[in-house]
Amino acid sequence: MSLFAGGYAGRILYVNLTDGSIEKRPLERDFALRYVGGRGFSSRILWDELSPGTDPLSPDNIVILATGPLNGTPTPSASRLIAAAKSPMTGGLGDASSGGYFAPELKYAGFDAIVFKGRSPDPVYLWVEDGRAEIRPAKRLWGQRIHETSALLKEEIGDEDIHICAIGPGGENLVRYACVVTDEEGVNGRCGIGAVMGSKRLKAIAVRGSLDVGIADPKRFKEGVDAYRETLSGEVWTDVLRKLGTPNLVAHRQKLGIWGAKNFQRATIDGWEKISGETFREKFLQKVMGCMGCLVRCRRYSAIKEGPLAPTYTKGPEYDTINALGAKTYITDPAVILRAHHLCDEYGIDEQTAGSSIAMAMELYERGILTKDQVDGQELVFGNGEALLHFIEKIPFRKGFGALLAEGTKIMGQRLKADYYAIHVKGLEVDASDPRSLPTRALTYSVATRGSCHLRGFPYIDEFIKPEEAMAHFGTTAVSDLQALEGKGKMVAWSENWITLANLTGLCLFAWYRSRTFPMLIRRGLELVSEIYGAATGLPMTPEEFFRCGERVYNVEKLFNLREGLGREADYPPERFFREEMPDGPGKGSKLRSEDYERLLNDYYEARGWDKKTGVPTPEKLKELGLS
Amino acid sequence: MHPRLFFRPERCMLCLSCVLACELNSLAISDAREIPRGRRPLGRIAMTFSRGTPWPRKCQQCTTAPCVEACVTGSLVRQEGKAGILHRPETCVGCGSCLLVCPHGAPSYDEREERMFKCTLCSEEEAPACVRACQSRALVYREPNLFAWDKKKTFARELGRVHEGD
Repeated sequence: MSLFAGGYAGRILYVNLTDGSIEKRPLERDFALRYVGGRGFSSRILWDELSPGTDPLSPDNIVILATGPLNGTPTPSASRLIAAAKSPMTGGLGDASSGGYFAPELKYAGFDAIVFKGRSPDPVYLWVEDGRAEIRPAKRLWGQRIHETSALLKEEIGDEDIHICAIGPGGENLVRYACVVTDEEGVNGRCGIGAVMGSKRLKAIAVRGSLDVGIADPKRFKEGVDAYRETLSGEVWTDVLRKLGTPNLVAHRQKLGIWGAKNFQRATIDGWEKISGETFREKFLQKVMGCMGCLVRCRRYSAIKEGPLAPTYTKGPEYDTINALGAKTYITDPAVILRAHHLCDEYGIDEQTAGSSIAMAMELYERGILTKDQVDGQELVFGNGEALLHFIEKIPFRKGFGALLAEGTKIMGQRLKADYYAIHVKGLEVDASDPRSLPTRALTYSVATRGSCHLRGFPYIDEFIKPEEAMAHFGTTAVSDLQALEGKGKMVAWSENWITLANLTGLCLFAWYRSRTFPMLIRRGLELVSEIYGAATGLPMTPEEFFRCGERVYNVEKLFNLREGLGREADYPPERFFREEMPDGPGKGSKLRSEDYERLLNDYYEARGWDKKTGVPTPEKLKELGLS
Repeated sequence: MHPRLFFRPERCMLCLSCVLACELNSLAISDAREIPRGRRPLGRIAMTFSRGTPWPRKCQQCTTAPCVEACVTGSLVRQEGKAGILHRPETCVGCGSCLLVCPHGAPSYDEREERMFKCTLCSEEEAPACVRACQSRALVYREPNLFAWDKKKTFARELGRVHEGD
């Protein structure tokens, strides 16, 4: 019986895979109010219950699937699930999110989160249904790709409507960047959470629920949700996403010249039109799809029906697909990109890291650091789609050169004595774009708590904030100047606390974060969401307290990383960005200046209330957040 | 001719409102919150998604229906006045012969009542519940000749628009 009037299910499932015991622990009111849900729960549980120095692929690591209080309620786009663990890629905090239908279903089954500990002696899956859970043998499923795994599970359980989180051969073979695939569509891609599941012999989690997710104050809730939906209807971003999906960003990246193409040796792509959002829509799109309760509907379902790579049917592609498998490897054949994407999803490996690792190997090959007989006899040059597809098939099974590729760029750099060409922060590859022309972006990607990530902060504020708003909020009009450095540390820090809130509630960023005005970021992201939260859960939550939760969670994550030995030296972008200038495009000639970055980092630490030299949160800051 | 059920996959959003409406209809309720706990309602339409195309699995109301031929108790009959196959639950013994012969797999087995059930185009009502629920008009209940006529008109209009550019 939940002690919450709504929103939360009120229970966290603890599963010990070593001895097979399952425990249902109540969600404490205080815990919920301080950490809200999602990444808040997973980060705090990892801080509390994981010993520092744990080997991420040992039985002592913990995997957590966490929902937010708004999953399962009629809030628009409240579909996101967080999967978290200590990352085998960074040795620090790891988490990844996905959309779809799993998180709401887990709430309907009566649980806010599942915490997995230990290691099962044999492959198993967890079956969760209406308030109870059961560990079941997964011998038949082990070795299967994602598609077969889903089909077999649906057959075994006898229900087409179950929702599934699973790993593929990639996770089973402990590919360092193996991922978790949800319902064959959504992927908890980064940080190697799939490898941790594989190390626990946890093949899948299947869930079906028919319980209610309560709403404490239906009238107030409806008013909040209607206002929220209203703010989304006017957004240009919504229409663009529905039409082209995230691939709409291809044209934008080309225009600004901020690709990390050819392993960050080129900033623009010749023939980029062949892999634009428009091209993918025209040539391959079968259906526009969406997640639970979402009016944006950015998902794609595509098919290759002609040519040597037909037939291929797959969800996607996303912008990140095109970036990792196309831009980084400099491949402009869209069918190759789509096929590689499909294989990554089927085998359960993160396409970001796969593409980045192969791109790095391509550069090393072109420079003569890798020879042909080292790379399976492949002509491993940029633009070779055949080589890309060859290695995507090898990585999940650690075959041939795929065995080294399966480790990711950081370890490849160490083993091949080629660290300079490994473009990552803390061990997680730089994904979004080349930040050399905008140092604020470099700061955002480098201080992110899970490694290089463009969604841990929101530095784009300086693109549209007005000078008077910048003065009011950040104490200087410089924040509205794209090129200025003053005040940007503070801006990034604020944006991190703010953007974390989406990951706490279960809301999707795409329906939450884009806006043409700064006041809307506050109105929608802070005011309306805290209002909806209060109406759903019946718990008191002001926008200020809500913002404070974001800051609190972020600080817990920083503490976790510090405890694992990731200090100030890990908050830097790759050396390449300081040494080499952008070779082409509008940003040609730009590179990061050391003194600029030091200044930004110092300002950021100061704004966060962390020690300037070490990045350790000061006792005052911890006290302020109730963390001492 | 009588109206039949048509599906336009390009309009389908996979929202499953049709499935929900059919289930509520089978329980004679209008609010999903009134569905009895633990009881899976009977659904006579199921949405599948194959290779990028949504498709509703339901009774096609065949003109020459194998199920009518196969039914051992005569519980399946052609409806008078409507282009559909009526299933009479009172005389059904649940043998499943209809399911065996149906090329669409339309009939299903009702475990509670121990008999078969299938779509009857909501014969008691004006228009089928699924059609009324569909927000994008992917499901259409229309006389076949009129439906074909609409398609031809639309095609001609599009053709005209294309040639306007010449």
